Amino acid sequence: MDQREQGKAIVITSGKGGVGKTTTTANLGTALALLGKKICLIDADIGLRNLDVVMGLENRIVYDLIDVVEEQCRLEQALIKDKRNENLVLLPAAQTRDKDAVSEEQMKELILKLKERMDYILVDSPAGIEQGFRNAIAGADKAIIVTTPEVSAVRDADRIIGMVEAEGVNDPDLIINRIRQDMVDRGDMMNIEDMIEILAIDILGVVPEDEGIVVSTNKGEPIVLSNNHKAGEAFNNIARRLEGEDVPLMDLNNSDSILAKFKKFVGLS
Amino acid sequence: MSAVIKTKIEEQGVILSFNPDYCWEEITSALAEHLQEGAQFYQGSKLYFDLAFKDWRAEELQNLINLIESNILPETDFYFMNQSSGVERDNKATPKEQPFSPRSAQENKYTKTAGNDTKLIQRTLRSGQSIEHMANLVLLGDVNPGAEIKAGGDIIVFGKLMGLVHAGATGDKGAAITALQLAPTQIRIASVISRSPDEDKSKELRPERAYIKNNRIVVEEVNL
Ligand SMILES: Nc1ncnc2c1ncn2[C@@H]1O[C@H](COP(=O)(O)OP(=O)(O)OP(=O)(O)O)[C@@H](O)[C@H]1O
Ligand SMILES: [Mg+2]
Repeated sequence: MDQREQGKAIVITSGKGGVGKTTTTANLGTALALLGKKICLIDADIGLRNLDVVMGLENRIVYDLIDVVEEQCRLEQALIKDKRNENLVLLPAAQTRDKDAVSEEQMKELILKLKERMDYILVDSPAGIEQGFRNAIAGADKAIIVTTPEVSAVRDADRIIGMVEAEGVNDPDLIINRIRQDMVDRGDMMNIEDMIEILAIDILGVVPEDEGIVVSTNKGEPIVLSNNHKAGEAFNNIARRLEGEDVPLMDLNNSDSILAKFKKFVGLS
Repeated sequence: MSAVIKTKIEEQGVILSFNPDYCWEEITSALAEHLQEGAQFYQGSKLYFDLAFKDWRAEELQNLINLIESNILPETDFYFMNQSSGVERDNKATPKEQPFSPRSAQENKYTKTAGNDTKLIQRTLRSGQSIEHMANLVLLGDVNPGAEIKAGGDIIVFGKLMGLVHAGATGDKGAAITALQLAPTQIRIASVISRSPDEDKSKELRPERAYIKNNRIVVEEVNL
């Protein structure tokens, strides 16, 4: 056997739709690739694929995940190389099939193969708690739960954490997306402590609401690639934390009180 | 693999249903075991067996009755149901249920017995998760919004109770609910239901106990 250490498979999931799973997958993957890691992104949102669009790789798709599991092509043929970073590949979802076209067993097998040659496999999960979600978490070593500061999103995140843990994927981490510090300060948005109190998991990062995300999504260019964006900085920091680096949580309102509160809850310091 | 026997606590008693994916031998042996283990819990309550999952021959029914009778304690009544919709909440359902037990049916009699009927659970219940127990239930952890906890007897939550809670679920109006922070979305004791106030509650940890007084749920502070 190869001496190389096995890669780590991380599923990015949420329960509620539209909270930023795909955005997170694209940006974390790109940020980790920039750190020199070998990355494979898997779009597990069969039938509603869009990771390829967010990555700007749509026009390169020939084969997809279903072709691979059905052995219509070899795995290598379906892996699309990123146009900006040679460390990064994408395994796109099938657009014209449905989620039942792949099984949990097949996903596990696929991820095992990828782990032999990649440092990280990031799986973009579909919303919901059905088969698509189950496929996405099959084979994952770790889960990242994305939520927004809304009661409904946090409720769904809680549900998903329970389900992920029941599947034996322990100690999921949390990313809170689309925080608007001005609203939190006014008491109009759930604050971070409240969310951590309910969910009781470690926080991996907080990503601010950022118009730049919309622009970058439309251009097919992850925001971590452009400078001067708080959201890009936040995703870069998350990538470094995944790599074990000790990066303090970004200060969103230019005072250090928030930072102090974080530390109280999760010992990230 | 899902369980051979499923139990559901209702106001009128406990509904037992069988997973039709198992063969008859597996079901009967699981049932015998279940009834033996639960004999203490079930004593004094009513058991409803949901038989809708298959057609029954007279001989099979007789075997089932023998099996049940030899594995339950006195004062446990049992009934057979032919519909999978569960026990209906009003009396209309009664004619469909044929009591096979000659023993007198005591209305909503739940005997609280201290000791080995209390279940201790050490975990937090997240949204979508639920726990049910025939007798008393003690939970070390939180009950998050969207989670449910239900017991035939008392419930004690050593943590924050924010989901749905139902004590005395087999009809015991004397059941109580105690929590370090009692902030459930809805609270039920026997058949009395009360919901949390719509305005925000304070978040301090302050142990409280809920019970029924004059047919209404009241909450009082517990001084530890
Ligand atoms: N931090 C942010 N600031 C501004 N807009 C954002 C941010 N994060 C995500 N968005 C926008 O929110 C929308 C949904 O994001 P995304 O597609 O990543 O969510 P998703 O969880 O993958 O959705 P789905 O459940 O449909 O797969 C997109 O239009 C995206 O541009
Ligand atoms: Mg998505």
